[in-house]
Amino acid sequence: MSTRFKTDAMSWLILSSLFCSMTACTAPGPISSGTLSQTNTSLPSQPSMVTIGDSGQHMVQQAGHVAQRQPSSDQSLQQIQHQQQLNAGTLTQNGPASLPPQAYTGPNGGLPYPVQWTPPGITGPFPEDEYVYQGGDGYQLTNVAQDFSIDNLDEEDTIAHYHTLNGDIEIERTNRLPIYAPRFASTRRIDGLIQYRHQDHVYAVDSPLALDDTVKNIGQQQVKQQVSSQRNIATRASALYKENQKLRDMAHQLASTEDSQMVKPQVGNLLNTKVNIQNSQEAELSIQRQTALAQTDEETVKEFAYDLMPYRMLANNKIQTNYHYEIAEGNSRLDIKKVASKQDALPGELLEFTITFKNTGDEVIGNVTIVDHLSRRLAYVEESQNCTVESEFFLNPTGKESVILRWEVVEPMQVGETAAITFKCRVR
Amino acid sequence: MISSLHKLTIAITVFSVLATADSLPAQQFRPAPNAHYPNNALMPPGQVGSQMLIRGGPIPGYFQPAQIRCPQGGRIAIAAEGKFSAGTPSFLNVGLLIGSPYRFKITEIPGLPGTELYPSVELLDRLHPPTGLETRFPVPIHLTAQELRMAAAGLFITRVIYLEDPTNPVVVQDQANRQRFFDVRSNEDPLRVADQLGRPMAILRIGSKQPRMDRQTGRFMFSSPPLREIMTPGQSTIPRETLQRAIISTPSIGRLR
Repeated sequence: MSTRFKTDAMSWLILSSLFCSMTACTAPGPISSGTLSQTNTSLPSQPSMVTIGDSGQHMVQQAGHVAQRQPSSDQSLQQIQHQQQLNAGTLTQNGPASLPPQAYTGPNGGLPYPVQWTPPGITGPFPEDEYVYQGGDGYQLTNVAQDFSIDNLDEEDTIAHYHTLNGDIEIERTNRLPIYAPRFASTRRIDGLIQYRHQDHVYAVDSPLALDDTVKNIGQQQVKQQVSSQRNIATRASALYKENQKLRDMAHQLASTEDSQMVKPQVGNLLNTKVNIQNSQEAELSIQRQTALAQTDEETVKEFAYDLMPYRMLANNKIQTNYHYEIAEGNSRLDIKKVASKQDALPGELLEFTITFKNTGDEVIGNVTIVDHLSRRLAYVEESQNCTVESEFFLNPTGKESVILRWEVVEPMQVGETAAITFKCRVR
Repeated sequence: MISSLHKLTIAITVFSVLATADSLPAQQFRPAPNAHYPNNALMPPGQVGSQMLIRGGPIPGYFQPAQIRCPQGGRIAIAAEGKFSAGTPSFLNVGLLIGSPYRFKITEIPGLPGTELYPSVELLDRLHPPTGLETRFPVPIHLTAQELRMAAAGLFITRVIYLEDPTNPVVVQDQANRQRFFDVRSNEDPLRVADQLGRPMAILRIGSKQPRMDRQTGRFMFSSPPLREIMTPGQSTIPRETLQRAIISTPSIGRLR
């Protein structure tokens, strides 16, 4: 009896502790404010205003309530200053604000999306309309003619072209540089009071009585039309079906006759016997005929050359001889990169771009020219360019209110030689 | 010998080709002329933004930083928990939910002593800045002195703030304390014009409507949606009295004699 009493007491204690823990977990939750409003009346309400600093914290924080710490009267000045430093750069209070019961917060309560969310299937900076791009060769591929005239140099493009020892013109593109710089503008409409009242009057005219009459008339007309449509489901379909059956039989017989004439001389096991070709054997005979034709396809010795690399192939598809020729030829190459001083900028701020280029080939290159078509969001700062090698600088405005910067390096670039160009732009 | 008919045909052909070529670049960034716009800026506050929530994506629950700015000397307050806060001078940085309309209060307007205006702001979309730059790039919503005077005189101003298309920008130098705007005609929808020029981000509505402090007050404040205040660097949330007590309780440092 005493043992049974102890067991009941233990189970009662466990159940009560579980119940207490459950109520302690669910009581302060912001989601339960609507359903458990009576339970939460005694609890201190959570403020809906939360302060955020300029730190790297994301705006949407995970659920979790952290009460704001109020310093006591005997707290030292160092702790106060430390708290000030924290407040100057971080969240002063974490956790979501208390939402009203009717607030819509999305299917997951507004949480949690990843910090850098991008739609599936899209790589790179998202969305593109918040970025200003510089460098690369987008949209159309740039062409440089022998007279150094450039075609298809789009906005934001940055390229370099040079002459090789063979007299060819080579083009190199820089990397594409995204800079986060959204810019805003607005459209405005001004309405007077008279016009505003007139619009209210139009909305009041919209009455549902007219819609009821219209619905009734349409319903009666549709019922009458259903009688005529039943006649169309008559004997026309069956007549067409009979005609199709006849045509299929005739075509079937003709096909079997032709197959029997064509298959006989090619299929060996059918030549010495009389075979009555029936409809069930047509598929098999057709397969045998196709097999025989495929086997008679000759795979003789074939030779082909591709890019000065001849191969010799035999019937068994085994490569027996492989000849590879390499012709000694100069390798001209120019590596060019473009970087910016900042990855984000507000309108009015300065950006400094640096273009570095290096002759990584094995021969000298000449007439090295760097061309940069600035975006219209960037304004070139006068007299801000600098090149580490002797060069001539040109500033060419375009018809679309953008400018093209061009540097023509005077001396040929030796193998391994490096140069750099810097210039400044102001973000519009 | 080319007959006059052939000359006329050639002239018409050349003219049509030139006219088509001239209009092609302008049509690259323009939406389809027969595009259907179910929303317009004259809808009730919150209706256009709620349509944006239905589209999906990481929009619900995100507090988009916004900066509301009024002329120098004015004071801006936002409705929170059924009442207006004390307000801040000239500008207010605050994180707003998308799709929920917010009511603001503009007081101490230069040139309009004693006048109080109550504009409403509705965010339609959010930005996706790199991590840590959320508060550096808020959505700017600027109120000019001219607009405040017109609103006080009884006019109703609807302004749609949009993110400019970087591939087709207006080549002017923007200033930090002034927002560019285009006046549309009275029969045009500013939301549609903004959609053609970029991505609409917010709608600002301002008139001369005054709140009634009765049962309708909550409706006037749109039930005070939740918000997040953004602090400027160096600003402290510790009450002044607590800070003074802490300074007094700090042991003094003996002076050198």
